[in-house]
Amino acid sequence: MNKAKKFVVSHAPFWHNGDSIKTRSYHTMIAALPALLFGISVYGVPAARVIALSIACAMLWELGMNYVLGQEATIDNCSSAVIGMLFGMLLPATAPWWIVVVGTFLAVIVGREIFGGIGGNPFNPVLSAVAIIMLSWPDMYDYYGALVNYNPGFSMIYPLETIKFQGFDAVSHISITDMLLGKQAGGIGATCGIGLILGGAYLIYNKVIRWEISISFIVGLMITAHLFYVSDPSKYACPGFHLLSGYTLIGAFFLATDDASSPVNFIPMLIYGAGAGFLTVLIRNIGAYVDGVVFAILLMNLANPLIDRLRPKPLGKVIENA
Amino acid sequence: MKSSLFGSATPGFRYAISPHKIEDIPMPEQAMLFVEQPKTRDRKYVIKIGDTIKTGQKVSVFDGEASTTLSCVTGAVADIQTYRGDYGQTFTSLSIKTADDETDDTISALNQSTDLDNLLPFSGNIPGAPDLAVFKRYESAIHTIVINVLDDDLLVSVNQWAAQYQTSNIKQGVGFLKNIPGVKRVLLIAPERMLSVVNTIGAEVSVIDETYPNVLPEFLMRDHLNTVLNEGQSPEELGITFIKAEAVAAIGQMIAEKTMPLKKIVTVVKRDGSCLNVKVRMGTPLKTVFDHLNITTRSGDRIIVGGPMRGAAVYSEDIPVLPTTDCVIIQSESDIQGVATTPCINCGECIRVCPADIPVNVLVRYLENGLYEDARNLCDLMCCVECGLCSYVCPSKMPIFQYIKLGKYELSLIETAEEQDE
Repeated sequence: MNKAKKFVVSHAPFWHNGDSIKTRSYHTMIAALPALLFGISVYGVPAARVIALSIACAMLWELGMNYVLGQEATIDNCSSAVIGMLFGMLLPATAPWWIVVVGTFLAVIVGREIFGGIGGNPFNPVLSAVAIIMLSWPDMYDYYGALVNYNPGFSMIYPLETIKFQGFDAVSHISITDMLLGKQAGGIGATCGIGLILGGAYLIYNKVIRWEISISFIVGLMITAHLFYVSDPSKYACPGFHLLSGYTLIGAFFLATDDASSPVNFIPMLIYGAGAGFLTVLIRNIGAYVDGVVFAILLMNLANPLIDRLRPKPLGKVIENA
Repeated sequence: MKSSLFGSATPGFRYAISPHKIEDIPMPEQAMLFVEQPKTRDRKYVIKIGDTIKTGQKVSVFDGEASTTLSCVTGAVADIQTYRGDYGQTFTSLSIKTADDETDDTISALNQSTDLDNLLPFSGNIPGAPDLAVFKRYESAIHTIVINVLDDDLLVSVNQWAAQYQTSNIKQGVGFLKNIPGVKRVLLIAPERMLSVVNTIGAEVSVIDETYPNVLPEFLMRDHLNTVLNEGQSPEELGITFIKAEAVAAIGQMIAEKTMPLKKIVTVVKRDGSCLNVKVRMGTPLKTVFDHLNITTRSGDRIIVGGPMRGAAVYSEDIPVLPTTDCVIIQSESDIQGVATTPCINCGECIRVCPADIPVNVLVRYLENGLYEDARNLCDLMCCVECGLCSYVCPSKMPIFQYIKLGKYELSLIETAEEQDE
């Protein structure tokens, strides 16, 4: 027996399709780029500053947590970078540095690491951070106040807030096309509708996100918005407005589709997406908050473990009815 | 691998087409026999170094232990060792210095009659290792025999080759199987491109879509026999048994030529992924096969006995070609994708790929924590058909398939322990 040769022994299967968490993270970041670059081109260096700080902080928080827990460093899978990037994209360009530092702490550590790290978070980490900040420092997401000094060449209006307090007629001069092209106020990377749709299509094509969630989210939102619009067109916005304003598109393609906090079976994905879309419009139209995406998705995250139990019967399963 | 964009259709692999060429590997100087009798403290050897073994002779290693292993070579025992396989399997391996074949009485008995009773000792010892004892164990309750012309793993084309080029033997074998008491139906499952060959065999033919994992027994039963195999059940309990095409050919050969078939077809997959079939004497160490094919092995390589999805990696190249060895794969160090300790990220890829609709993402969380009974009761562990696709697609590179096999193994240990307590 030739003792010198040592062969690698491992369990089947001996092939792998080459997918990895890192690839998925890179795909997500590439998909977010069009909307992000648009935001940076509108808001300039301050926006780039927020994004850069956010990505860096998120990764450092994870590294710090790895260090504290004595784990192997896991930042090379770039999942924290994705969290940082998305968190930054939701902030206004004028966000102060400390809110980025605190926000990424809330996202990475409170939103994810304390639940066991990647894959363990019951809520979307980015959205839990945004929700905590919205409740603690409500002014941070006041886009009128934050962006008052900007004059990018189009009317700097945050459509959802205007609709909420002045009715749909007050924004009738904004065309859907302008909103699609990002001519509105909002988060750094959340305004450019066309960019987000492109990114979403890229993610669906590369199977990083589950199309069922995105599509059912949009459909649920459109149907609910349409029902409101039909009931009182002067007060409630038309479905197109709901689709292109606020966090709807970034929510549909980047936030609701977070792996750990969303269902994986077909019917639960449809329920989850449609439920989040429905709640978004409900909160926007009759709730207390201007934008409902954050809380709508968080609420559906809460329901996820329950609805994901709706699954097909496995092959050969014997179900004993008591 | 092809899979649809909108994930509703189950993705699948296409099968390799069996190459026409076959390489004959000559009789090795040193052969190896595996006897499934592990060494324990109180067992006494009845065999010693220097003993001569004849071809077809029943090989027993320990006193008072029944053996079912027949030698496939003639020669003197040169060394006795123990080999450990996966999940507690232990064999005693005998190195044999080969000589010219001398046949044992077991083979001569075939000259008198070739009915089921005479063939029984050979089950498990001829190529394809057919289990003929099931027909005795279930006392004529087996009514359907399924012969699959495709192999149960990718790249392997042993059964395809047998169906293509040993058709007359298969015809003989099918005739024999049809005459077994109780058997009403012999079903041959073949891909469409092989219909012209298999239609001449004289058995009922069902066409199969050539994608993995459609070829696994559970799916064959569902798709071709309209029977669902319930968890924990064996096909034999439903009166169905599976025999490989190669095994049927071997049975046919025994009946026609009144000898024991000693040469086995093996698919060898080289480093560059190219496949070729070789005809090799059972008992030949893998090293001899590699040497003949000019394959040099190095430390850090991975040698896999079986296919890429369901095979088993081995730690030594002295392992012989066994009746069940259909494929040998050699992978270079640079081609080996390792596993990682990253937890499940709940991406849902495994759910989309699982042909048995098991909630793999939840199952793996139970298995990681050793909660095997919960995994069985809540997450359908026993419904797994062991295709390996979940591990194949996992972006976290979790060894999901290994967890599943380990879970099943641990559960079987728990059950055995409970039975002993009673």
